[in-house]
Amino acid sequence: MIWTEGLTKRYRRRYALSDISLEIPDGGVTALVGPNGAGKSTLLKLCIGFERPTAGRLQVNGVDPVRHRDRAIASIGYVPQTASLYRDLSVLDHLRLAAAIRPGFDAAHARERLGPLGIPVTARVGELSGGEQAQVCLAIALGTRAPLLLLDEPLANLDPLARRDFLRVARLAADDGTTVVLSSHALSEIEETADRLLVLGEGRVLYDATVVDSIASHRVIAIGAELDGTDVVARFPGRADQVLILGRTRSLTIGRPPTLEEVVLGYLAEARDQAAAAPKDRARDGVVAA
Amino acid sequence: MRRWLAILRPNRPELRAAVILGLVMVAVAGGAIAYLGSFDIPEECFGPSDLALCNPYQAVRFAYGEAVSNVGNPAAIATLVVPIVVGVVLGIALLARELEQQTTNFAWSIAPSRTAWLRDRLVPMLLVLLVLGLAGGGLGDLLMGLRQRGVDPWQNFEALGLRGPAIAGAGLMVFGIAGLVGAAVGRQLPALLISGALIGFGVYGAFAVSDGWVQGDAEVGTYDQVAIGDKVLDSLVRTPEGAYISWDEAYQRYGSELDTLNYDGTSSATGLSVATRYVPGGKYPAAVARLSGLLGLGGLAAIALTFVVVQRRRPY
Repeated sequence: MIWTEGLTKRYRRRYALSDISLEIPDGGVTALVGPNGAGKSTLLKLCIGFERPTAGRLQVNGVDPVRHRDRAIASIGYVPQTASLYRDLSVLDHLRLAAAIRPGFDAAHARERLGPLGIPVTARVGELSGGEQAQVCLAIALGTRAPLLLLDEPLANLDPLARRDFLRVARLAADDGTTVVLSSHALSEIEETADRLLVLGEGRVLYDATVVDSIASHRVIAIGAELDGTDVVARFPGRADQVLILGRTRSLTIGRPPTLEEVVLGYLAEARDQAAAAPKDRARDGVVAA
Repeated sequence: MRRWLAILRPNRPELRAAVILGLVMVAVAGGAIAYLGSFDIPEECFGPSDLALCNPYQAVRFAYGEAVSNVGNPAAIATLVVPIVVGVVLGIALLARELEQQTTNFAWSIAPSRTAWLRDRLVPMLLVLLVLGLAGGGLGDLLMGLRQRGVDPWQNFEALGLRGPAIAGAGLMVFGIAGLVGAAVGRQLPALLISGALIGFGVYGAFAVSDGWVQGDAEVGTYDQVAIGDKVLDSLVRTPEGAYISWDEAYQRYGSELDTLNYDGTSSATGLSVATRYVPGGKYPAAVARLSGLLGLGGLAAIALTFVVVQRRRPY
């Protein structure tokens, strides 16, 4: 479980995270979404102790990763944004290296994950495609047998087929009881994988709910259609330059059900509108939109 | 053993290069030692004597002197340079390259303890460097014995710090500084340049301190008492009262009286005599031990700081 209270991370004058309080419960796949610079990667890096918070508190599986980074990392499998593997080493070398530096590393489990993907363990990492390298990273993260998997935008450089494979493996891990936190821009693709949606923007949590509830509690309404007292979240750009409204309602008679992407777009648009309406407050707080 | 091999696998190219360079160094120095040792010249003929038995060896002695210049000295330089170069290469590879290529992102997310990760990679590198340094230093001593025949290299201040255990100490210092700078900077080329400058300061500082200590071991005697291998520090003038003063001061006091001075320690008619401040060659083992320790401690201090930096820095 990840728990934060008033978590703030500032890089010089720019706030990546500002006073965030959240709780990601054990189990399932939590999708961490938001625009570039929303603080997704920063949150994951704070969890694994790669960054130190400027203020606030953070616990990963009950451990403060700042004070007890060793213990926190022992409970985390991490896949970074770019596959930071040794290009001159083979996949097998990586598995052996991981086994040498990580107590309890399950190399056989990692190889099991790679087998069906057709990635030869004797191949040098530099010879693998970006998708294959991401799969190797995921396999190694799974080999740690850690109860928490942090996947930092691993889909960014993958083709659609590789994304599907990657998400399938992540889903299987979650079904086996691993907590998976996945930051991504590929909203349409994570809809089938994620159980929970956490939207970050402007350095804060914009929305946090289960995927099922996110869709069930919102409707997409065309401009000019009857709102019937619906709580409007925001207007957002739909496809083909069509502006739509995201409304908070469980009424089935208004508009149509949203996709997960539309829910996210609606809350990002709301944040943008609020930021535009209150520039003085932002300046006072020192928050700069990325 | 398999664990160590797995941990060191990312550094195999540098370690392989270190071993190859080490073998080249041993071959070059060993070849030079064998070649210089093959000259058939009686040991007595290397001293300042004019023994009649040495006359037939004049030509061979000349050839030997040429061989020392052309073979012995370059080989001695190799025994100094190889451990230093390997120290820099291993030090840069230890962290600067990992950070630059962001492989620390992978390694530090897998290894629960960065301290253990660094220690596991550092210890084998240190051992390689230590073996290389001691081998280079030992070969340097053997070469010194051949470059100045008839003088025990461990009783000889010639090339203090450029041979013997000081090479291992210097290798350690170079490795430590390169590793520390690499950890702090995280980029190979800047780390290399900054390390070069800091290594220069570090080595200069260690030699300066060592020189101060050596001066503390100095004795004063006649010029004739100074043997080959002793470190001559200064030439002085002994006054009739028994005080030792510098030549500048002596000229001010005694002027042209100094022209009659004898260099064999006997007093001139004015009671003045020439004296020499020197460090006997017998003090060499202590001097080289202190210098080696100083260089090694500098390296260990840098390594200790590297652990601190690794604990605190980001992996990218």
